[in-house]
Amino acid sequence: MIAALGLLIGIVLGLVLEPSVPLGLQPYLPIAVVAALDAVFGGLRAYLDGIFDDKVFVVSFVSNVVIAALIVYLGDRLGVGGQLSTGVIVVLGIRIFSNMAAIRRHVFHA
Amino acid sequence: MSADDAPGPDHARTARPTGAAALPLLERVTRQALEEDYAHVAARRRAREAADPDRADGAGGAGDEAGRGLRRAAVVAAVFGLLVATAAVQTSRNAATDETSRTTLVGRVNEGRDRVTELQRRVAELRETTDDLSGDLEDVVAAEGAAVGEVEGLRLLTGYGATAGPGVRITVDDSRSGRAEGRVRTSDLRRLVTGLWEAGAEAIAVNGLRLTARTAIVTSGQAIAINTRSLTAPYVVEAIGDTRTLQVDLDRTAYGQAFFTVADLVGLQVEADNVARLQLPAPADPVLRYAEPSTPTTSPEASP
Repeated sequence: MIAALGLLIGIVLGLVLEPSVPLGLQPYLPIAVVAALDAVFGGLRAYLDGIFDDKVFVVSFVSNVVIAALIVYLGDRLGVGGQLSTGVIVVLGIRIFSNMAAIRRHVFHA
Repeated sequence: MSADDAPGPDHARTARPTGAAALPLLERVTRQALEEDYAHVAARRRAREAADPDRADGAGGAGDEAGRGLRRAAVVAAVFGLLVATAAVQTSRNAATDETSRTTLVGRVNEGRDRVTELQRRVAELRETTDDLSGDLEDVVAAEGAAVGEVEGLRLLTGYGATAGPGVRITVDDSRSGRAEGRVRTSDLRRLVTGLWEAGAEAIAVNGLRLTARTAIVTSGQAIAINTRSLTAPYVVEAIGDTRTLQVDLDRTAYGQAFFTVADLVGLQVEADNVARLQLPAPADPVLRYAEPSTPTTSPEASP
């Protein structure tokens, strides 16, 4: 409940403040969001599995975001930014879907 | 995510004879969707609780711990929400910017196209003008050529152009006696020139000075002068005309007869030769300040 409240506060803050992202970081924001999404769904599934741990959640969130951004940055430097972003999105997407499936099983007991 | 998996509960259940390394990529990604660390930490905690059940049962401490953990999770969730909102705002803002720049670009393309059309129209116009002007130029060039030809003809007729042709060269010099009356006088030269004109000469030069309609042979002190240029003996009179008849005709004219009579009388040295080709120079261009062209219809009325 408190986590959902935090999420709501964060979204409202973002919409109200409309923080501007530095131009150099703009390409990495979407992929960071997807990575964060993965971490959040992983945390949710762990919570429902009963093995949630806040430290693991924080570490996985931060490292997911940072690593995803780094990979895309590296790809940009090497000239394969588009392909690497696609790869990252595919892997994260698959993880999100399978985590969602597990969460669904928990919620609907199906 | 390392290749050699820790033997988690999931993995043990679905292990295949081929081993973890040979697991297809997609399947591995699906299976490890949940961070393994959750399982690790849970396993460790379980082990600790088994080893030290007293501490694990401390309900207050555990509650505190759980609350702090949830708060931490809430903070991370807030950060996540912030990220999502920022990304969404950014994307929509960028979309607006993209649309604006696209519209601007389309506008500029259309403007450029309009300008190209306009310029092409102007090119066509100018080409037409150029054609017209080329036609005009050709006309003008033709007219100029005709005018130049006419000028050449008129120059020849009026004695204002360099001419060449067959003719007679008559050299007149003072008499050998050296007496005063034996010198060539202006009147002698005038008679000779007039006789030549009368005999049919078409162009005459004296000592290389061309005679024209505005030429006067005058006395300038002791010397004879043509306009303002003084001459010295011997006087070479060159006349272009029919070499077969010019000398004979000169003898027949009144002025010619008078000249030869005087020449015989005072003993002037006169020498006449037919020349196959004489070169007569052009006179200095006349400067006309008052005379102007007059149309033939008015000239007969004006002249009397």
